[in-house]
Amino acid sequence: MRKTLCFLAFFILTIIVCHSDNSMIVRNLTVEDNPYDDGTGLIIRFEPLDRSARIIEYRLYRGVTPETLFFIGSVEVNPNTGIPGGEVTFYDKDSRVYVDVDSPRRMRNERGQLPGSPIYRAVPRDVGVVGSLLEHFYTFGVIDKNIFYRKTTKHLSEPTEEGHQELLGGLRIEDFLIIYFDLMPGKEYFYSVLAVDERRNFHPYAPIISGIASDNQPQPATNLYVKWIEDTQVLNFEFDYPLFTGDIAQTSIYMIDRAEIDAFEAYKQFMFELDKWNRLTTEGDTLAVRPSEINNPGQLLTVIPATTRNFTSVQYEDGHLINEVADSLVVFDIEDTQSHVFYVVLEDYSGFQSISELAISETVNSELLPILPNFMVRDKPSDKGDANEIIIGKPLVQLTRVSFRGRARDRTKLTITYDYSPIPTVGIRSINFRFVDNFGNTFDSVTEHFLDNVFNLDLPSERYFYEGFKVYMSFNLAGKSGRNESNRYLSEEYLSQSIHYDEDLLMLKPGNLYSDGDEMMAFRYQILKQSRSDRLPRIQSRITPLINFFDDFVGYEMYIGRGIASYDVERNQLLFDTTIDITLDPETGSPLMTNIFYEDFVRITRQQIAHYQSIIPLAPDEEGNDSEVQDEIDPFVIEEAMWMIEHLNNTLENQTSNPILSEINQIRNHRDRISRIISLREYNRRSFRYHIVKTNSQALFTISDIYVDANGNEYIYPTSDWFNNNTIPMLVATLIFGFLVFYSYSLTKSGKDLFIRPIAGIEEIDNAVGRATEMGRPMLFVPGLTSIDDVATLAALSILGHITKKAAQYDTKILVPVSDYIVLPIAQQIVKESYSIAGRPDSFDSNDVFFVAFEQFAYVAGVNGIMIRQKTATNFYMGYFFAEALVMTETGNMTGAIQVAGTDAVTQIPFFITTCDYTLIGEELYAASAYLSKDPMILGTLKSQDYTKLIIIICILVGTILSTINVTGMINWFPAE
Amino acid sequence: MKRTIPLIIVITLCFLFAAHTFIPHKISQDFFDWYLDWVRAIAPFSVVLGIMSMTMNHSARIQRKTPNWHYSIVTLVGLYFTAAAGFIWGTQEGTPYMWIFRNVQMPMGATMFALLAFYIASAAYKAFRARSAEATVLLLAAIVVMFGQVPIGVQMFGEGILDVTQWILDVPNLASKRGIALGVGLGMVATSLRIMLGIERTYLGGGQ
Repeated sequence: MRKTLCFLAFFILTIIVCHSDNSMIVRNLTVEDNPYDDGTGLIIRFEPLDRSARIIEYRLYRGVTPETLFFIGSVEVNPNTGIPGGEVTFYDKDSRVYVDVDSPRRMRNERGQLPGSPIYRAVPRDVGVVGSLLEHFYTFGVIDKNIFYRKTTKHLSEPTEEGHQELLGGLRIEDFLIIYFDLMPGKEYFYSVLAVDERRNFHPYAPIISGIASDNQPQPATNLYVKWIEDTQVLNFEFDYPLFTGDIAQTSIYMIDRAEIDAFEAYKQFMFELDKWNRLTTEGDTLAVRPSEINNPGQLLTVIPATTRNFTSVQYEDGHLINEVADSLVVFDIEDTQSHVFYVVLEDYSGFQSISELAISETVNSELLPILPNFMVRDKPSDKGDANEIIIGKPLVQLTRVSFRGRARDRTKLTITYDYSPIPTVGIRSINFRFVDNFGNTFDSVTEHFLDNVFNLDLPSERYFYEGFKVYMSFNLAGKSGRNESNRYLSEEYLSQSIHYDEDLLMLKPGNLYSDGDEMMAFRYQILKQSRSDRLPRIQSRITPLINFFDDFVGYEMYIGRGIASYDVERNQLLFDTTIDITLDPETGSPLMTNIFYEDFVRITRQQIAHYQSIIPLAPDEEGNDSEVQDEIDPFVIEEAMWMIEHLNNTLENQTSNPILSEINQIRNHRDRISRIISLREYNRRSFRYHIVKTNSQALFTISDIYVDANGNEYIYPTSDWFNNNTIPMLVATLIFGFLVFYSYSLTKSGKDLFIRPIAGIEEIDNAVGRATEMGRPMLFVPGLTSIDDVATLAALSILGHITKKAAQYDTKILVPVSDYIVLPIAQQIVKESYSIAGRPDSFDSNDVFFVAFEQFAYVAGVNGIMIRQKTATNFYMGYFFAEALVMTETGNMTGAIQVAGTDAVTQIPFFITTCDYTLIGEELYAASAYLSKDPMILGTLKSQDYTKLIIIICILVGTILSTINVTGMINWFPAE
Repeated sequence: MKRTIPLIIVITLCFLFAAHTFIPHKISQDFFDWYLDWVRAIAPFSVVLGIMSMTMNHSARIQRKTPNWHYSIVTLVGLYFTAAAGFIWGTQEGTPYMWIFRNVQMPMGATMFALLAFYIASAAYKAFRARSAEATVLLLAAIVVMFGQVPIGVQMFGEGILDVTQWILDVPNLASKRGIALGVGLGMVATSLRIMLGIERTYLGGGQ
C-alpha cells in the first residue's frame, strides 16, 4: 500500500514537473550594481514574456543563499498591453523589503511551488528567520513611541570571559510596525523572478543568479554658478545636488588656474577609475589593479557639511580668498578673474569623490543681489500644535487671465481674473487696481470690495486692447491693520503687472508680476530650519515668491526607529540599543544621550571601562621597564581602549554633571523618568529656528539672519491650542440656536400653544397606513442607504418607530429591508419595541426587518423584488438616497402602491416629487418625528428652527444690503465654508 | 437601566464630540482618533449580524416554501460561495472571487444602473405634463435648459440660450437648492440637539 502511494505521488509530481511550461520562465535575468549609491542598491533586469502569455505580475525574490529566496516586490503589468521596450527593470534599494503585519507567520513556500522549492513568500514574522538575516542586511525597525518607552524589556547579554556584558532592549517582533532590510555593500545576494498570469497561475521561476552591491562615488553636482561680487569682494557659489544625497558626507569647493585644467581632468579620471576598481574588487575580481594615486590639483576654498546648503560665499581680502574652514589663504587675481576656474567635489562617507564640471566666474555688482523681504515665524494659532506659520513678504495680488465678457467678443469689454494671496497678520478690506496706458495716463480704476477673484473692465477703445496696458495694485486695510502705522506701505502701489496682446492667442495676456520694481519670478526662496537637536540646519523647502505664507509641519514624534542589533529566540524578541538622545549640548554641540534603563546603563558602562582598563598594560615599573604584556598588544588596540575609556568616562560624568541629564537621572521612578525623557526630547526636537535665502538659483543670493521673535526667542515651539478661533461664528450660532431651543421648550412647557405649519406628507402617513390595512397588504419602509452616523438615518428610524406603532395597532405587516449592517439591529429593536408599546408583541416577526445587501444596486434589485412579489400597498422611503431612489419609486409607482418619501438629498428630491404621492422635502424629514410624536418638548425644537431661520434671513438681507454699499465687514466675518 | 446607560453614553459622547469641533488640542484630536480606531475595530462585527439576518430570513423562506423560495437558494449559495472563494483563493486579480466580481456583480449592477435612464425618461414625462401653472413653468424651464445643453439648441435659438440656461441654473435653481440645504442643516442640528439633550430617544428603540 505504502509503495503504491509513493509511486502515485511520484507519478503526480512527474506529471506536474513535465507539465511545467519552460516557455513561461522569465529569461535574461541579470543583476548589476546600482551606480552612485552607498552600496545598498542593486538593479535587476529581465526580459518580459510575450504579451500572449497574459502576464499580470512579475514577482521578484531575494535571498542570502540560493536555497531560500523571499518575495521582495513585484512589477504589475497590464495583460492587454504587456511591457513595451523588451526589458523590465526593478530597483532593489531604499528599504523596499520589510516585515510588517501582512507578513506570514512562518516560512511558507510561494503558491505553485513544489516542496523543496527555494521560492518563499515574504520574510515571515519569525524571530529566528529575521535574526538569521541580521548579519546580511542593515536591519532597521520602526516602533510605536509608546511601545518603545513602556514595553521595551531589558536584555543583558551573557558575561564574556572578561565579565563584559552588553545592555540592549527587547521587543517581540509583533511590536515592530515595520522592519526594513537594506543591502550591505560587498555581500552577495541571490535573485529570481517568476511570472503570474491573469488566471493566477504562478509559472516556474527563472534560474537563480547573484549580485554584489558596491559603494560608489556620488553622482556629481551640476549647474555650478560662480559670481564675483566686485564691490563687496565676495565670491558666490551655487549648484544643484544630485538626486541621491543620503551618502554625501561633505561638499567642497575648489579653485584651479585655467592652465591646470589637464591636471583636473586627470584627477577626475582617477576618481572614476578608483570607483571602477572598487566595484570590481567588491565583486571579487582579484586581478583588478588600483589606479595610481593622483592628488586633487585644486585649492580648497570652502567646505559645506553634508548637503546642508547648495550655496556658499568666500570672502576676498588683500589678494587672497579666505578659506575659513582650513584657516588659510588662496591667491586670487581680481584683475583677471577669468584665469581661475572652479568645481564642486562631493565626498561620501567612504571617501569616494565625484567632481562637477568646471565653471568660470561672472563679475557682477551687489546691486543685483536680491533684497530680502520681511519674514516672520510664529506658532500657528488654533491648531493641534503641529505647525509653525511662516510669513514672507507682503500680501500679493496678481492678474491671471483676461477674457471677453459675454459672447459678443467685444474687444473693449473684458473680464479679468486675479489671484489674491493675503498674509494672516494683515486684514485686507479691498484691493485697488489702477489701469495705465503706455503713455502713463490712468484710464480706469477698479476697487474690489468683495474679493471674488474676478471683475469687469471696460477699455476706452480697441486701441488699448492691441497696444496693451499696465496695472498698479494696492490694498485698503481693515480694522487694526489699517490703524497700524507699520502697515502703511501696503496702501502704496507696490505691485505692478503688464498686460500685453499675444498674437498667437489673439488675446490679452498678463505678464510677470513686479513687487517694488523687482520681478517676482526671477527669484526663489529657500527656507532653512534647525531644531535644538539638529547639529546643522537643513533646507526645509524651496518655494516661489508667489507663496507668501505657508505652514511648516512640525509633527509630534509618533515612532522611534532602531537598528536591530541582535535577537533572542527563547524570549521571541528582537534586540536593539536603548540609548536615546535628548538634545544637543549647547556648549559642545555633541548629543546628550541617556538610556531608558539608567541604573543598568551605569553599571554596564562601568564594566566596560574596567574591561578597557584591563587591556591597557600596567605603568612601567620603578626602574622604567615596561611590563611583558605590553609588547604583545597592538598599539592601535591600546590607543582605541584609551579613547573608549575617556569617552565612557565622559558619558558617565555627563549623566550627573550635565544639568539636563542630571535632572532626568535624579528621577527615581522609572515611569516618571520616561515621561520626562519624552517631554524633553519632544520639546527639543520640535523647537525650530529659521532663516531664509532669496536666490536666482545662479549664485545671486542673499541670506537672512535667524528669525528672532518679539520676545527675543530664536526657537519657535508650536503648542496645542484649546480653542479654534476660526469656529467662533459657528460657536455663536450654536449657542443662539441652543438658547432658542430652550426658549421654545420653556414656552411649550408653560402651556403656550405654538403654531407648527402642517406638512401634508406627514399628515398623510396615517391614511397611508390605513390604506394598507384596508387592502390587507404589507407596508414597506426603506430607511435610506447611509449608516447610523448619518442624521438622516436617525430621523428615518424615529419615523419608523411611529409608523410601526400605527401598523401594530391596525395589525398590518411592515417590511423593513436594510442595506447597512449597523442599522439592522437598531431597526429590529425599534420595530420590536413599537409592537410591544402598541400591545401586540406577538405580531412582531424579526424576519420582517432584514438585511438585503450593502451594494447599492443589489439592494435596489432586492427591494424592487419585494414590492413586486409582496404587492406592498404603501411604500415609505425615508433617509438619504442616491441614484437608486428613482429605480425604487418608479417600481413602486408601477405596482400601484401609495408612496411617501422624505429625504435631505437635494439631488433626489425632484425624483421623489415626481414619482411619489407625498414628499417630505429636506428639513421636513427631520421635523416628521417631532410632528408625529405630538410631544410639546419636541415640537418646541421645531419652533426654534423657525426662529433661527428668521435670524438667518435677516443676516442674508443685511449682508446683501451692506455688501451692495461696499461694507464687507459683516460677510468677511462669516467663514467661507 | 437598559435605557439609561446607553442614554448616558450617547449624551456624554455627543457633548465630547461637539466640543471636539471647537477644540483643536492634541488631547482632543488623540481622543477622536482613538474613538475612530474603536469604530473601525467594532464595525466589522456588525457584518456578522447582516449575514445572520440574511441567512435566517432566506432559510425561513426555503423551509416554509414561500412563493419564489427558489430565489432564496440562489441568494444563499451566492453569498456563501463568494465568501468561500475569497477566503480560499484570496481576492487578488485572477482569483475566482475576482472572476465573480467582474463577471457577475459588475454587469448585474451596471444593468440595474442602466435602467435608470428609462426611469428618468418616464419620470420626466410625468413631471413635464402642464397640468397647472407651476408645472407649466417647470416644463418651460426644463425645455430651455435642455436646449441649452445640446448643440442643436444653439443652432435654433442662438448663443443667448446658453446665458438663459446658465441663469436658470445659477439663480433660481441654486437659490432653491441653497434654501433646502439651509433647512436641512438646521434640521440636522435640531435633531442632533434633541438626541444630545435626551429629548429624542426613538433611536434607542420604541417610544420616547
